Amino acid sequence: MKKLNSLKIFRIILSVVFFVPILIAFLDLADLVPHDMKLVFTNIQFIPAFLNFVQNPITASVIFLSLIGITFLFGRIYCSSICPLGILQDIVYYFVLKINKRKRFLYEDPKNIFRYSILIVSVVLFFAGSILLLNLLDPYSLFGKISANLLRPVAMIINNGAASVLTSFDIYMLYPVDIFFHLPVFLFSLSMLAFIIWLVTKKGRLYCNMICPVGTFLGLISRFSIFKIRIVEDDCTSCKVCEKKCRAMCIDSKGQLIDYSRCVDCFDCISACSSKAIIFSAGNPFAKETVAKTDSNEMKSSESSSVAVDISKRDFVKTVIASFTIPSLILRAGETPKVYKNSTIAEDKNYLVTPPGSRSIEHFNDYCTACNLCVTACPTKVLQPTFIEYGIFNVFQPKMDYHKGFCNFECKICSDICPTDAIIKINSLNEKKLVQVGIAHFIRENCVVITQGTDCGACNEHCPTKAVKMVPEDKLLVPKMEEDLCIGCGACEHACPTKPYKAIYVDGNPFHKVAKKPVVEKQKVIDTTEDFPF
Amino acid sequence: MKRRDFISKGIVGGIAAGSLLSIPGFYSKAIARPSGVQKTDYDLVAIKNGEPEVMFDAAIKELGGIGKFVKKGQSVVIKPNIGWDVVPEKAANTNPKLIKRIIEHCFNAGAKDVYVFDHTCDDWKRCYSSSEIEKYAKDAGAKVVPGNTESYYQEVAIPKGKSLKKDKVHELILSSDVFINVPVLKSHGSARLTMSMKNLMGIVWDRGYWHRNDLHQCIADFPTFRKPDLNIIDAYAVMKQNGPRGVSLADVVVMKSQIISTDIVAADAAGAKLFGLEPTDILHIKYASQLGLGNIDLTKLNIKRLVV
Repeated sequence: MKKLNSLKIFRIILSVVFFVPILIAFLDLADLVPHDMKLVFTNIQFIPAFLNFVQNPITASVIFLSLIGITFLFGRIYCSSICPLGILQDIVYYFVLKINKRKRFLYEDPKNIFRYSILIVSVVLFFAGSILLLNLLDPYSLFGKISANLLRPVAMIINNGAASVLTSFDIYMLYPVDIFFHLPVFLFSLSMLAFIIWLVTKKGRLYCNMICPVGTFLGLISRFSIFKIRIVEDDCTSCKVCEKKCRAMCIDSKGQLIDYSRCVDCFDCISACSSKAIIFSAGNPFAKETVAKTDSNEMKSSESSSVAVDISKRDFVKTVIASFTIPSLILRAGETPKVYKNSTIAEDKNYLVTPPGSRSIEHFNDYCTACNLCVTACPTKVLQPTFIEYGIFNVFQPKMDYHKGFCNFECKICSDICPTDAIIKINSLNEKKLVQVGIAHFIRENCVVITQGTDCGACNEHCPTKAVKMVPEDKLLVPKMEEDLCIGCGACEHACPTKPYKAIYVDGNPFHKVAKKPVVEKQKVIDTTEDFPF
Repeated sequence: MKRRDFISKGIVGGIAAGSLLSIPGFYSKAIARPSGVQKTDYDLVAIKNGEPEVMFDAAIKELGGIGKFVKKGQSVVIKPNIGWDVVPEKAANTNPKLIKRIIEHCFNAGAKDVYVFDHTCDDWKRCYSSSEIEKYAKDAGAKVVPGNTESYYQEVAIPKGKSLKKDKVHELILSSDVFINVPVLKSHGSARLTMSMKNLMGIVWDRGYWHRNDLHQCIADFPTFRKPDLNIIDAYAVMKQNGPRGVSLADVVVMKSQIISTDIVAADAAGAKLFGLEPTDILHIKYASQLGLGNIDLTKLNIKRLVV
């Protein structure tokens, strides 16, 4: 009964090969793994590949079409061995079996109305301009959220503990890292993880066969796969062993039927069958098969029609959706004032700031599935998840949070690493240094130099382009903005010491612009052999 | 284990005891340790027209060698300016070769451990790496320590400060026997110039407090708590404008100079002169001299001037 078959071994090896790197990509606290390496494993995920394909159908079609092709050939290999959330469920299932050796499943009818509704709504919403359901349900992005918000903090706590032990021995090999908790995305990740674990213990891979839009979509293809699990009717004794072992609950032993739309290619049934009546073999994909009762044809047609939604209708539906969205007004929740000459004027932020490379808030909102990979890779932690600041149709998508950090001038990691091209790769650092994601605004009345009558200049100090100038006024230097030079990196806002409101803040550019290149007067060469001036 | 335990039990206990017994300055006196540092013949050595390492070799010799400051078996903390994620040529950070040479001198004098750190402005790992200070310091055998987390910082009282009455200071400053301050001379949008005293903003946790509460006064107040045992101002390449971060290489002038002094006010006064400004025009230098931290009047000092 416990014997492994070669297909299952292959499946497990493949899972390890795909799962471990992606897990490391999210847990890489010290930024040791090259970004290109991380990208290799995130780009092959279905939704990132789909989003790349949608944006560049010609240049970025290979991965997406390959995933479809693999599914047509062998079934849902993606779900069994590439999808990190699928593998995570297999890991949970492994422990379920350890705890409860008698764990058995029984065939259940497909939850067709539910799963196809989710798929259709996901697709319609996406082509209408909201990525909401893909954001929430795409298994890669959900795995990303779980890794970044649950597993990574655990790794950080372990790291910090180890670092403090080592430091006490005067070893500075490890260093403590700051742990940021973003409550909404944390709670979402936690509840989804709990829900999935519960589903696995009760119903195996039901998330993949009832909720996951990728699973449902690939199921539409895997019905017609060339290679399939097949029951050899003559050898089958209808003993139900395979059915009880099927984590997809898709084998009807009695009727000798397999629902191929739900089979996730785990190959457990092959090992389980003592009569060797289950084989994985090729056949005519369109021959009348032993498909369990599904209303596939009906659903297939509605699916294809929804995919074909006219892109020009998109703006219309989008407007309708936008009218329901909560505007981005949650920006001003300032801290409670402390005993100090407090600043008095609230910052007037109209737009959130999206990372350089995202081109516009709209583009970013359209393609970001909030997998959180950029959030984990950002060295300054300026990229933070949101909740509903972008509106309820764009939950959890990251923003530039200048109270947490500022965008490092010499860095474009987020644009290098984004698997969905919500942040499009910027070719060179020099190009990035001119991308204007927002513009800083100075509130004179809040400034320390004005309110305290003492020098400050923290904004100017941090400004990499010197868009913040210091202008003499009496014996003090007062900041002055030169907006053309500003790239909106937020260094000034982050450094500004005033409370509760900053004296300088960045308002996002809804469409990113190109800043003027700073021109610097060349200093004269001096003679270093001259006498000292003292 | 020793060092950390000493800090967490001994020193924190000391702070607690000090504040409980209401003895002003109890703690700072116990920690600030000018002991063992002997008065040299020269108050200040200024040198120019050489490579950073060469100038340091010659200048420290005039002060009687690093052995005057670093005794066998002592621990040394070196505080360069590593504030920015830029390459050495941009001169926003202390010259890495100079740091390496200083570390080598310390070990030659028998130092047990040499630590290097800064509480950087940009992301610390990138600063440590881009400045090349991490590489050079490790090559010389120093321990390069992060300054990025509040847990490294211990609260201390600064009773003699006018605006700055307390602060959180990096534990290495508190636990090391010798403190060597190695700033780089630069223009500065808020402090006018950044040199020895301004560089000490990188050993405390909350710089924003200084900015809010009379920056110049806070810069002058801090050394009343702990003066570095030696200040070495790197003026090899000097950012003459757009400091402290700089915009391009055009901001930088090669001055090939160095100033060394135990007197933090005199060192900064000489740095200001070198830059082309009057020391009295830099408020924090003036305030520090008023606090009696050192001599702002260079004519009253015994200065050794060297041209390589």
